[in-house]
Amino acid sequence: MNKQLAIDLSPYVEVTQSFKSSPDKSTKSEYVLTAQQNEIFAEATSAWQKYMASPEGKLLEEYVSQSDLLKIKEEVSKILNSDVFQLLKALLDKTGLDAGSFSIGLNIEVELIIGIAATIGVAIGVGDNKGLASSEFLTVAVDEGIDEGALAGVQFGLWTNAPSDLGGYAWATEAEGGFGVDGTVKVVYNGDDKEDILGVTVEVAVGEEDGIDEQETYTFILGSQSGSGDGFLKPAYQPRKNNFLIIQSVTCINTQSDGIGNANEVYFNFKADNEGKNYYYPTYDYMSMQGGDVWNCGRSVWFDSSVQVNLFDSDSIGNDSDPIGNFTINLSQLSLNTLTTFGSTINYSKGLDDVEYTIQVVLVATNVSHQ
Amino acid sequence: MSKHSIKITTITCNSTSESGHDEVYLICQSDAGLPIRFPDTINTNNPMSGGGTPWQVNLTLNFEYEVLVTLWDEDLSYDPNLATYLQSNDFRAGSGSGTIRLTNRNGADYSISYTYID
Repeated sequence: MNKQLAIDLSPYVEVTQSFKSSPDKSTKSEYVLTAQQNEIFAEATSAWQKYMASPEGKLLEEYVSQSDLLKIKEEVSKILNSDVFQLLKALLDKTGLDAGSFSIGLNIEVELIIGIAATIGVAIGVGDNKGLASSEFLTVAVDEGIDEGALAGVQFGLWTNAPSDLGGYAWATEAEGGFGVDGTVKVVYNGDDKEDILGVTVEVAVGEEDGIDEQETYTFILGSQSGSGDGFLKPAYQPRKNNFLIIQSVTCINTQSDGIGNANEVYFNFKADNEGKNYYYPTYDYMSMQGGDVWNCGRSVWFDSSVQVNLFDSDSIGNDSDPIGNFTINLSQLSLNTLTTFGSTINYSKGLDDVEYTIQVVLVATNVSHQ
Repeated sequence: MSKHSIKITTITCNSTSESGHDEVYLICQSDAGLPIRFPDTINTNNPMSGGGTPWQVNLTLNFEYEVLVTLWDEDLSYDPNLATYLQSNDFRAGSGSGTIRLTNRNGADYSISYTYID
């Protein structure tokens, strides 16, 4: 299982879980592909089979089973550069095409407490939208009975909207297949409106995997060629490890004299056992603190032997934050259900004084079964 | 694996973090697992103002070791990147009922009432 990808997808699942199923959805659409759609999808699915048999395709499968969301997104963006898609691109380049964008996405299944079907894709402008900035997207559906796998297949889509306008809630259902199209055809509706067709997709499974007939999905625009839309969300979910602690509180002894008020805009990141990526708390934003303040943050952490916690002052926009505390917590320093205080002092030579913070940590469980 | 349950009964706003309303929603995370949002529908929140009607939350949370309840102010659309952190409280196993007051330096002042179920 690709654990990092599951963690990267977890915050999108949080959002996707926030929609309610709508009743009265038909199980099969009467929609029939137009000749133009049929021609494009037939060529796309044919080229895909050649691509997957090539060394590039084998490499892609490896990336999907091992890489994080950012890397897989980068690799998906390169797929259409392969020579096997030249004819497809010529078809998409025709003027008068009755579509706003075309997409290629990898269908990936991940088990994360619940089953997740995700499509990581790239959309390019076609027809009247030819030349518009492309977009990279992530579509998430929460499904029961997912097989724990990696690459489940590919999805090609022809959409009415421009590449940057594919985000939001949608609902898909299976439709009649097309002539020469070796895959499952689905009609995707915009939201709950059965009259508002967002697009048509064809999905080709890898191996024996059978597609899902109906799906409620939420699509996030992860980024675009024009540079707008940073849709990456930060994970909060952490897979279980042997031991469990809570960073119960952060105490400010003395703030950084940075000339921007007396308060520090405090957030922290942490990493367990020096593995994977950093987690953040608060996941977004910060907590304003001055000398004497205690922030009962209460963030819990699974770990085996150590946790590194780094405290920052978010005075600046983006990632340009000032470090205001560094703490290394080792299991050997903790006793079960006993509060332990860790201190940090940072001296800024240009500042007027030292920045001093402590964190209070309690170990709440050890040797937890988690397989 | 849940051994304990707590019900968040009401949340009262004593003061907001900004002028006008705070558009409040909760993110609840049990045992560092997959967080849930409340209200559980995209783009929904509970507008609250100081001294206004308490929010009848009545949300039961199950956990093994702890559940972290974070209050957020939803400023723009569903995107959590743009939300404002108000405050949080970590609940561990316990009994009875109580109220916890949470404040921040931006003026947010909220009271969370809860009842342990088991």
